[in-house]
Amino acid sequence: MSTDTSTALTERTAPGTAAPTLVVRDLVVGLRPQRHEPPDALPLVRGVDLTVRPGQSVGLVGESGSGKTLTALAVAGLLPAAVHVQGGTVDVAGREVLGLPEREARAHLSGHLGVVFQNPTPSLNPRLRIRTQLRDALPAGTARRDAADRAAELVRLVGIDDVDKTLAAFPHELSGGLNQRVVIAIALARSPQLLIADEPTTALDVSVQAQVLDLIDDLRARLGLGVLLVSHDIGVIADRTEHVHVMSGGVVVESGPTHDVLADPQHEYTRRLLAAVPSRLTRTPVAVAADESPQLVVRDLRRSFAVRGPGGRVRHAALDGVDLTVARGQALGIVGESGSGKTTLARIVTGLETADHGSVEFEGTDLRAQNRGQRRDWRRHVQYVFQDPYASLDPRLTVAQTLREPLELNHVDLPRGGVDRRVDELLDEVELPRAFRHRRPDELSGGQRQRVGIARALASEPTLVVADEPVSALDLSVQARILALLARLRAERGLTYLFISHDLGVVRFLCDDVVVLRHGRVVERGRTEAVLEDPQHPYTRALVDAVPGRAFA
Amino acid sequence: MTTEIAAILVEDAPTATHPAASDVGLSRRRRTLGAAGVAGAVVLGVVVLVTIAAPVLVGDPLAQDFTAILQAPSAAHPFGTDELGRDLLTRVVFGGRSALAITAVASLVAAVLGLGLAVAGALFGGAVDAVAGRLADVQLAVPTIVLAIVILSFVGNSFVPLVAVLVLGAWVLTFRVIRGHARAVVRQPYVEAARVAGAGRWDVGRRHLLPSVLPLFFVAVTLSASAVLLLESSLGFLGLGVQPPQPDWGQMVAAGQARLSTAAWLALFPGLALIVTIVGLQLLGDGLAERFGTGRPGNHGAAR
Amino acid sequence: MALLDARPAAPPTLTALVAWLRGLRLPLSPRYLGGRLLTGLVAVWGAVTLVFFALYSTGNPALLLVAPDAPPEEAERLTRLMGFDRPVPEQYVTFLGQVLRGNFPDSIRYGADPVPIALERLGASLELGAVGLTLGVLVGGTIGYLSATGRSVWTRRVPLSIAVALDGIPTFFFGILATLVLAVWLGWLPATGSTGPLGLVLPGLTLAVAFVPAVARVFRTALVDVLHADHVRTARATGIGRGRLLRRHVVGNSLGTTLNVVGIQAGVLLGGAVVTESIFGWPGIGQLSINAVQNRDYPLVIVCVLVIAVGFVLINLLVDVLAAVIEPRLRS
Repeated sequence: MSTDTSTALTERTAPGTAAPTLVVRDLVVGLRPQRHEPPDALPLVRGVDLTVRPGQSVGLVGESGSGKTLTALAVAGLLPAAVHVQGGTVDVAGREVLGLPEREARAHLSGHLGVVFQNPTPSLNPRLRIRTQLRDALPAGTARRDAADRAAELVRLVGIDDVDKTLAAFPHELSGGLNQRVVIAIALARSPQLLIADEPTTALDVSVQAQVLDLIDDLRARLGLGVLLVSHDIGVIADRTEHVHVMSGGVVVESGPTHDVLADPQHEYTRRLLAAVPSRLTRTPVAVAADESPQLVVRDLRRSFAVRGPGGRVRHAALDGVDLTVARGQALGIVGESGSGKTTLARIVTGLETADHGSVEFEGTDLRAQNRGQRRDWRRHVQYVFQDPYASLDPRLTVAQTLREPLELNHVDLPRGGVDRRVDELLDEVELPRAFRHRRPDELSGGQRQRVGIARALASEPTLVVADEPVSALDLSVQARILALLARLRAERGLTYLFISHDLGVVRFLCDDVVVLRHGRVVERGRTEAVLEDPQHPYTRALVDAVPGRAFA
Repeated sequence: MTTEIAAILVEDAPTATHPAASDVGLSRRRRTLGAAGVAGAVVLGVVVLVTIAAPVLVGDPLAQDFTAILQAPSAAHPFGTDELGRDLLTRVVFGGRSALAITAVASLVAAVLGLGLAVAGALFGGAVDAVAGRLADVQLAVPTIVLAIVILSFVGNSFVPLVAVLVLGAWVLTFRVIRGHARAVVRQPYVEAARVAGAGRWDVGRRHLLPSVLPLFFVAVTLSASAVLLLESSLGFLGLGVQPPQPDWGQMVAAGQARLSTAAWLALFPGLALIVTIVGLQLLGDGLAERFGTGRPGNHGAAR
Repeated sequence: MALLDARPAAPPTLTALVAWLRGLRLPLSPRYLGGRLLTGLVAVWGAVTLVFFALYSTGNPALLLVAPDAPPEEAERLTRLMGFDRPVPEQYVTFLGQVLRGNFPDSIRYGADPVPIALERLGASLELGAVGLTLGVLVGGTIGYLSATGRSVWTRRVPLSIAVALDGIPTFFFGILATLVLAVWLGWLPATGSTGPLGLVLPGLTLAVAFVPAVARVFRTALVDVLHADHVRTARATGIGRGRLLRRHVVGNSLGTTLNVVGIQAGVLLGGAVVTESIFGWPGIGQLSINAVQNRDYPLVIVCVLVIAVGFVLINLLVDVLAAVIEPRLRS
């Protein structure tokens, strides 16, 4: 093993015609047969073929359950215990590994392939300093003296400037973006020829996402790495890969040069998937009746939380003086990265949280000055749609019970049969079959649950709906249908939307106006088209530029 | 509309195993207690029935017979007799009466106390929760054996102080288990959704929190009963519990210890009765925990 | 690790030393230690208060604290000394003051200051505790490890089933069963009352068995959790061997949680220690306190209880510090 790192990392064959670093043929991955169950289940991954050449970036795209992650883990030899490879060949750096004894395969793979995972911070050992983890990842037999230099060099290689501080830190002291760079450094520690990145930026903010993807691109070019990039994000695939394989239901339905596949999809599934990308959804303009009196006015809203930092407890300002005016029937998008205060704003407007300072006025009345009747009205008129469709329904209640709750709590004057009729109407409204009223959440899919969540919000006939990332937990095609539903409801009922999202495409589809939040302050506001096409504030510009797949959209 | 619905129906498969759903929502994997749980329930049922029916089934636990002192188990005395010629079977059955009565009262009071504090803390948060948490910390920092020695030696070891010691030693068990769950539940979006829909604290407690916590409560009662019985018998063994001549399992084992080499049955039978009951409770508790998918709360601080 | 980074050539000046110490990043902030210490003091104060009110509830504490055959003047002297004739808040303050100064009435049975008597027995308790703890942690840890990482059903299930079965046996009854089999029937060991090395076997074993189920179960749960953690997968991808992976990434990361949960159960385990001493007549503080209760030697009871409470707080403090050393996330 070479310890002269600079040469080890740079002297590599140029990309192009060299022998492939990864060849997968007819890969089949399935559940390990259980003792008492007949092994009749269809394998989870069936007949996947892949080739990755040095310096080439190959994408694997698909929705949840498509088998893309299992394929990547099978190549890396990291399948969970319940799953195993049932057939095919995996050839890494010229050597077939599936037929090798476990120990030998592990040794070969770890020497030629590095893996980057989705959640950076949990992917590092919380108990060990970064320095230790990097040294552990170096090839066996690296001398102590060299190990220190090599660790520092790896940290520099992944673009971290403050080398000493990073090396001495524990993972929980670093940001997610930094930790993902460290994970990449660990993957590179044994000078691999292939990098497998499984949703490497899904857990990160857009701006950090762009930096990490830039880093991977840069390393690919400089070190001649082959990259297998697994992602659900078509924008990321469009920007970062030369070749793409589209997976659905455990098989590759289409593959080819990324540009060709995205520009001219041949398979039906690929076409549907691409049509569901938010920025491609055709929006139907909604005419908003110009109304002078605003429905919601937020003035100088401030809220801070005590946060445990490295130097003890500090007050962190989630909202630092936010002003907003929302007209009746308007759809206002609030965009910002994590920590921008967008969720806190939504929670204060719906009364789930109280502000330290400032006021929220609904229909001209300050929330704190409401009398009983006004308060009841406000409760009925302002509703919330939650982000996580799994946690926002009580697992013990049927759909009908969930939908009855707001009706009962608000003492809506409905006779017994009337409540049942209202439940049916609500199900119709969100396009769910009436028979679903007897189902419990665990019998519903994510998209169906989110529909129930929307129906619950509609139950008390609200006029203002606050939606906090209502589609971010859903697959692309489901997301498109929920967005269409939200757009239809707005058009039919004249609802006002306060729509929180990190996804500019989603906001562009649903909202007329947009407010950009950063560190608890509004940095820019205006018509959605105007702000996204021609951002004035440098932060907005950076945010817009960082969104992957602009060329594709 | 119908084609739209068809599309929604297939839009993605139901996913009951979402991690966020399983960590708080109690999954319904199994409808039965399982073989071990049923066995525990049966054993416990038999023990309870026998002790309740004791006056009908056996004679007087205090009746002495000096013609039959320290007899080994025989047909006339299946468990043998003690140094005063009292029938050991009778005493074991009656010993269960006091042990089980004290255990039942103490574990129920402890569990209700733990449930009340945990639910109140979760619903009201802030100071209520802080005070409840602090109480639990203090309880954990003052070992139960210290409480027992102080209270039982100064105040005396009648029924009430004994139950008080056991309650003080065991309420934290239920409290800790339910508190973790209750705090997670009130932070769930579905509870926030209820609040947005106009639910007050009582509505949240009644509609969402209590129903969600109840299965866990039954598990906690059962498992804390086994811990309480262990503690009760240990106190009896140390001479801090039920006083002679009233029989009590722990106390009888202590009395039998002196004659271990000549009359081992004196210690063995009450001890075995104790083990059977404790194991019955634990099996039932584990079965309930499996049934409700809550995991075994006994992992976090049993009392012995 | 940090040692390697210190430049060997750096002059040994004070500033360099300070910088070096900073570089070490001592795992425990004074803040953390202070907080833990405060909790401990509150607990001791709680125990003292408990004793006071228990005494007070008997009506005339002074009569309890002197020998039954002592002249009435003795009770009066004590009443004045401890302030039992004054209003409750004042009594309480006086009582606290006396406790702080270590002033207790003489032991009724021994007719001497109870503090040295109690402290003298502490050594025997620590000896037994060390043996029981070491044995219990080793056996419990091994069972937990096997049940979480064993490759065959036998290594995973059988040892754990034994540990679970032991959980249903009260400590005192296990001690008696062990005595019956090993001492009475087989005659391998002395039954009770021996303090020699052989005499340590039965009490040590009994105390260890009180620890085993808790340690095994908690360690197993922690191991299984860590085995499924993302960082283990990262380490696997680096080609680390199975043994090293388990040692460095799985076992190491499970110790903190295990220590914490077992620490919470320390009070329960202390009860087991008192019972064990009592079964085997082990001359430790647990047996002393139980004997004092039976002899109605209330001054000695109070001192024993306070010594146990302080010892318990110190053990808890040690556990917390150890857990923080093992688990960096607990430090901030």
